[in-house]
Amino acid sequence: MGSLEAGIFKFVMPFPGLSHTGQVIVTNTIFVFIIVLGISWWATRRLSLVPRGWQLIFEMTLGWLGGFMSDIMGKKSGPRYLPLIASFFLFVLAGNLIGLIPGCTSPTSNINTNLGLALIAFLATFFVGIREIGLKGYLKHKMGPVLAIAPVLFLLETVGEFSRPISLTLRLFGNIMGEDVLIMVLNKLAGMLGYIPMIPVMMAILILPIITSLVQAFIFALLPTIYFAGAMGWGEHEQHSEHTEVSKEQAEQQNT
Amino acid sequence: MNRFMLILALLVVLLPVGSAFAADASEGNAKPEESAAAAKANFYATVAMACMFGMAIAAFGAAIGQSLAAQKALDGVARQPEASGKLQVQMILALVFIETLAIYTLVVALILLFANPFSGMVGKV
Repeated sequence: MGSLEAGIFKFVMPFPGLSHTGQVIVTNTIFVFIIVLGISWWATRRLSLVPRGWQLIFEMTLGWLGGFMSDIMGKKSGPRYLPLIASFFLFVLAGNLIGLIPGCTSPTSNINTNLGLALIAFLATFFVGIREIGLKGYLKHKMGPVLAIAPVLFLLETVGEFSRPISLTLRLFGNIMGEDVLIMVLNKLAGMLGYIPMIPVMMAILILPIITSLVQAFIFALLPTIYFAGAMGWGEHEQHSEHTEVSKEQAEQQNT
Repeated sequence: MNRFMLILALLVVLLPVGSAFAADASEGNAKPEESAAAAKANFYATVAMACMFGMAIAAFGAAIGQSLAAQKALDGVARQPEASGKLQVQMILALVFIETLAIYTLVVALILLFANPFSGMVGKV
């Protein structure tokens, strides 16, 4: 497993008390932070009304993500949680794609990073529910429609709530670790057969990890949105009118 | 319906055959000798075979499940091509949920192969 743990600069920040793998992962996490913040700073350096370059890419990405959130969580509270969801998306995307550079390890291929992110999402659903419909409304939503089965339903919903960070963590960990193992195997194969004949094979095989990275980042951003919407009681109470308003707008747009 | 039931009954009858073959293959030479090296080799061989079979079954189930989701999504897009954006998002969401179950199996396989918690007791019963 030596080549799975190599860092690109061949140096790690000497955090005391961490194993070598931990130091590599934390170094790569800081590296991903620097990349995401650096590109964001570069994109917002000279904001213009007609976006060009990185500002255009960021506007398209965040607008698309904000559109999804407004669809799922409603127009009023959708944009309110866009910073959190977009942070998840950008960090996980950059973290996944770093692993494709030969010699680098994705910070998201370690279960600790993913557990940290999933715990943030788990605590956030609690706070979103309380902020949107109040503590009493949130508890009443958890207890279900009928008061008779309230204890059973409350228990079931709590256990299901705890299964969400586990599934988020393991999904991201399994996918990105599998991707890293695949690249390690390709490296070993290239070492045996020579690098030059392996270049077209690696180009062809690398399409799958790129698609997986994009989809997993999108899913890690989409699932907390759905959990937020569930915590807000979306689709069960009076939000139906807002939903039909949106579809009426879309029908008008299609007619004109 | 009758033919479907016949094929289903045939598959159910043939189900233990596969596991009998697997048990025969993996425990055929599993008589533990006294040397620690043979016990170690036997342990790692069984672990590798278990991981491979588990992952194969998980991949099989996940492939069938995902193909069902993709079938319905493609049917919907063929019926109404202007809804393709929304259907695509729902399809990706469903695919990820189904794929997660195969990924759980992959995680267990990776743990057994690379960070086996029982490898310290190999050789001592």
